[in-house]
Amino acid sequence: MRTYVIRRTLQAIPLLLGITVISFLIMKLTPGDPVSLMSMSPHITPADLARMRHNFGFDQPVYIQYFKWLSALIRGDWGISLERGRPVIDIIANRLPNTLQLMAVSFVISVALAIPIGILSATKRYSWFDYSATTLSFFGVSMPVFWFGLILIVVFSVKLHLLPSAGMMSVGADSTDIFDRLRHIILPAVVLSLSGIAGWSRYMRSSMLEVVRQDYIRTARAKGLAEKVVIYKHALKNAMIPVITVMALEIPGFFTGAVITETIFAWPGMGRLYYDSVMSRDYTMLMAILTIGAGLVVIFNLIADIAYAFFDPRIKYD
Amino acid sequence: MKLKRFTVVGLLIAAMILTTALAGCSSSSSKNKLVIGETQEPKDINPLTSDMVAASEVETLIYEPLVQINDKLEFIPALAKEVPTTANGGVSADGKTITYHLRNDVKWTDGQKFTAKDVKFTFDAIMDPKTNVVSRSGYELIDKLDTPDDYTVVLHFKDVYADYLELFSSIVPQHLLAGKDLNNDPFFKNPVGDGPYKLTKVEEGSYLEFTANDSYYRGKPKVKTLIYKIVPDYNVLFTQLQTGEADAFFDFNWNQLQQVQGLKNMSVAITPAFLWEHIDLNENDPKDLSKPSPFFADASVRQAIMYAFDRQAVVDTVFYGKVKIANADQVPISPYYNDNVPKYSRNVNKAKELLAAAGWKAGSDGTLVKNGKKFEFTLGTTAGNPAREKIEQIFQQNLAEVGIKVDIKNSEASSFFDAVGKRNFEAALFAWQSGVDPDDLTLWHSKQIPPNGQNFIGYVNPQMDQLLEAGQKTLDIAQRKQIYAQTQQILATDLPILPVYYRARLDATNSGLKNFKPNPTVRTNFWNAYEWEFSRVK
Amino acid sequence: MAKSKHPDPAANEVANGAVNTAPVQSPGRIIWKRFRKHHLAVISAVFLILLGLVAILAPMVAPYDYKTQDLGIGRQLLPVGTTGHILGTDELGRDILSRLIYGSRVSLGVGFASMAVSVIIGMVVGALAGYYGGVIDNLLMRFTDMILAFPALFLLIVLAAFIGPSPTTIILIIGGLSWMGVARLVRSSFLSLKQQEFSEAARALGLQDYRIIVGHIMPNAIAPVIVAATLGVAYAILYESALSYLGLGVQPPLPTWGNMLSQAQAYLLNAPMLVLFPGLAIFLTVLAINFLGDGLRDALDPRLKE
Repeated sequence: MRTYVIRRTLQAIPLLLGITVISFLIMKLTPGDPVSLMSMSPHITPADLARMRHNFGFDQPVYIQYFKWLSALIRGDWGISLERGRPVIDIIANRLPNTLQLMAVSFVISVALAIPIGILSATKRYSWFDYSATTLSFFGVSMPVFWFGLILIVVFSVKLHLLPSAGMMSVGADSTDIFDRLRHIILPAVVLSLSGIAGWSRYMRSSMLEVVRQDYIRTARAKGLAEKVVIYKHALKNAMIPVITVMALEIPGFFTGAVITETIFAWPGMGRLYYDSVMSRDYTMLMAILTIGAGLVVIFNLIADIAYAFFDPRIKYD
Repeated sequence: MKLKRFTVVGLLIAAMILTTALAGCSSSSSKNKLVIGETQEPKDINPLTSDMVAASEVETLIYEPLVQINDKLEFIPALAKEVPTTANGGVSADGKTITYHLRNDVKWTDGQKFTAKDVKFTFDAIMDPKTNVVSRSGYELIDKLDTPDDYTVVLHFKDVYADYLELFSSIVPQHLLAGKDLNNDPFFKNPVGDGPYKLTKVEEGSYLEFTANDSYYRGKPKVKTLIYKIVPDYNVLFTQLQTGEADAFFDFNWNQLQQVQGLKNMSVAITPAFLWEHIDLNENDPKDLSKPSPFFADASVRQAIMYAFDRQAVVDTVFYGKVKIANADQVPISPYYNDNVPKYSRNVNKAKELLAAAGWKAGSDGTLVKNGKKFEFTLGTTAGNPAREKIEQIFQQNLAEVGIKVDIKNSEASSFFDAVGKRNFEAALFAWQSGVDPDDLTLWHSKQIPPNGQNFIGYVNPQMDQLLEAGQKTLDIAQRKQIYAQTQQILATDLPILPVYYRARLDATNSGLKNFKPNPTVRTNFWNAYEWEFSRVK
Repeated sequence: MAKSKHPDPAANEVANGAVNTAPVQSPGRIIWKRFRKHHLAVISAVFLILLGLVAILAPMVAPYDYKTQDLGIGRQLLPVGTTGHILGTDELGRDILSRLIYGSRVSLGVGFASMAVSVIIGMVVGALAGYYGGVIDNLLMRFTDMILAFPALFLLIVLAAFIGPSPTTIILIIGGLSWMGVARLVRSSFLSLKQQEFSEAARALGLQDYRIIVGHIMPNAIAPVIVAATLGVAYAILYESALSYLGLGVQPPLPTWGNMLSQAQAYLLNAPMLVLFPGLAIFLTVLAINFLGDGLRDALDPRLKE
């Protein structure tokens, strides 16, 4: 097990390097750069554009640009945002907590609802509960986020005046005002948790149905154990394995945030930052987000695999 | 019992949501706070390097210009005591020397006095090749900037520059920025200015808070706090107007006009802008730029397209009749605008005649054909712009009626403009900014075909070249007007581009905001923020 | 017949070389009998078949062409029930019903095609990795990790810039960036299934690898894939609508439910029906697909004994 972990960790390094190389190449080979967005005025001459490109170093060969970026990174320097004129790491440090808050709250809501719904749908298959739980869990996720978000805003903010329509806090509110924050986080967190509730409850139901037919469950039943004990003590742990795998894959996504939910609810998180950076071709910002994001994916995949090995002793790693 | 625990957590969350929902709803309204909603986030409040409208808007609150343009497009003094003219001796007889006399009662918000040294420093900063200034046009013509005393600035131009008053639209403080990295200094996160407002709080990505500068030289601004709130989604920002979470929505979309007008406490201002939308038709073949385009090299074909294109329908359906059809490159609010040019209203028969005369005959599927080549081309614009998408679709339907097939292929802004800049397009819909000054030499002169300039269509017309060159060298305003009247005449006849409409900007403000006078130039709405008064109308 | 641990009755026969003594029922009929039990799934299947027919026959069913505009004064944003336009018209005077019908073509097409792309890639990668293990597994899974770590949004814009945001591009992008979950599911099923007795028996019989993978292990690993696939169709339809919202979806004038919805948002107050119909279309379709997925899962699960 230990050698497995070490080996996987060592493998992650070239993987990450590969990802940065490819991202950098794609970024540079795509037509357009931050300067091309500035050109739509007769006052901006090609000489102006060339001067700017030179200042940003875009006139150098791509591989030199890459190695400059990489060597700065090795020295711990993520660079300065081309759009925002400040160190990218400061900006990320500013935005990340917002996204993490939103993601964590919606993750908790999803898990807290998806798992019981999945279990009950499986144990009471084709019952009214199964049908209505399924319908309800799909109700939210079947609607495009941007639409559902707007409907929620119209209902809860415009009509009922219950919740603020957008933003992370009231203007001028103290940043420690937990109540104010909670009121703002409700709608985006609900919207964001919908896909988790629907997806994970389906996986849970399916996985549970799978497990209850295994021999060891039959054995447990045959031993005369109470149905509840069979389901919750024996079946649940095994049924959780694939669900956890699916969930673990979503966690790194916390870092890049949710572009549309953040846009609708004016949530100043990583998703919005990422989207803005793509659109404005803020290369330094993008490289930082991509590299850190990729690093997290790699780490969480590793954790998921290890967890899998831990839960399912039939799998051997050598 | 795992399930129970989950249920408990679920219930707890539900309870929390409910209580917090019910607890809120307290709206503290103070009439001295104005919340302005915007979809764009000003990313970098650095007047030297920014080119975003959102950024230059808020910069207007912090940094003062030497002279400024008001809503009637007149120049009024700001940091300068008077607008230099030939009459007051501010402009020399040959027009090459401009003298500004500065006010001596202006202070930066840190208490230091504003002087000519700051102007000199700003000029040097703009000309420093290390500074990422977007455009230096005009500044490059300044040979020397003298400061004979602390309150006089003399500009010596190498050549006459008619647009000199638009220079120095923001002055930055020398005593805080000398020797600093002018692209990225932390100063710009927490700037010290001399404008009507101070930046007092930045909640990144959420809002910026500006507080009145009590020692502002034109008097203490009446609205104490301005909030510049960022809500990226247009429809959500509209709901903020409905709930009263925002008092104003600057630059909203045309497809929202009817909704916004339906709000009883909102006033809508429609302000013509120095922007005109047009369709560029590449006169060369984008696959081989040395060859002429099989479609657009012929002026009569371009005219035919113009006759087929129902721009009145565009103005009526997309802009509710509130904008004007464009004829050429000068906007109607410009003093150089020439209304006496050929105009094209929809005439399908005329379009068909012109196309037939140019050798285009209907093929088997109804699409025109000439020399075995189908009349089918691609039109692109910046993806995700509802007004432009509608224009494209109307254009597509109109041209289909005369047998021309248009394929719409939009891409995201950066790659779209990159393709346009490399002339890798057949037809492209976008806007040009125009100035109070009419000079568009870089757009139409035959020497300005990329990579030299911005003549993306590859337009070549010796008469046009001559006029544009003459226009740059002519000082006399009456003579210039005549020259640019002719360039507009040629553009409207030759149609190297198809002008679509003159853009206008939409701003919604709470009816309780007084003295709000939107400005047609890039400096936009905040130019007179110090005069605003506000008491919210519910 | 001795109680076999083999979960697949058909494979049992192969493995045991014996014929089941129970009354013979074809696998198809068994599946159908099980599927029928899930009433909502049956209703959903009927709904989706009808919808599919409408999509295929769109030019015959739709009263107008999806492009035909009416720019006459007062002909835009007509309400529901207008003569000639049962569901009203949009902001360019186009018939909403016709656009919904044509939109079903693009939306369903994008949904199913993207799902197909992602499931095929995912099953191949997952099966190879899980069955062979070792170096192949390691390489394939690190490749999967890399795609997972890849900047989907950026890739999307790049592709859109090079080849334009056409339906095909969008299918390839959505499919090409969403197979990783399927791959991991299939792989983990394979990891445990290949060590079960029936696989070992099949190997002992000297069957070729691909026959073991396709004929024996895959049928047992298919249940979670079906759930993933149905969710995949639903997510692809929603993903396209999200792209439309960002302006990177299927471009006008071609309608999809997603771009119709995102364009209609600005008329929420003046023409709420414009928002309702495409929203409802997406909702009902996604719901039906998911019920169908549930029903199929239950019916195809070979371990389900009465």
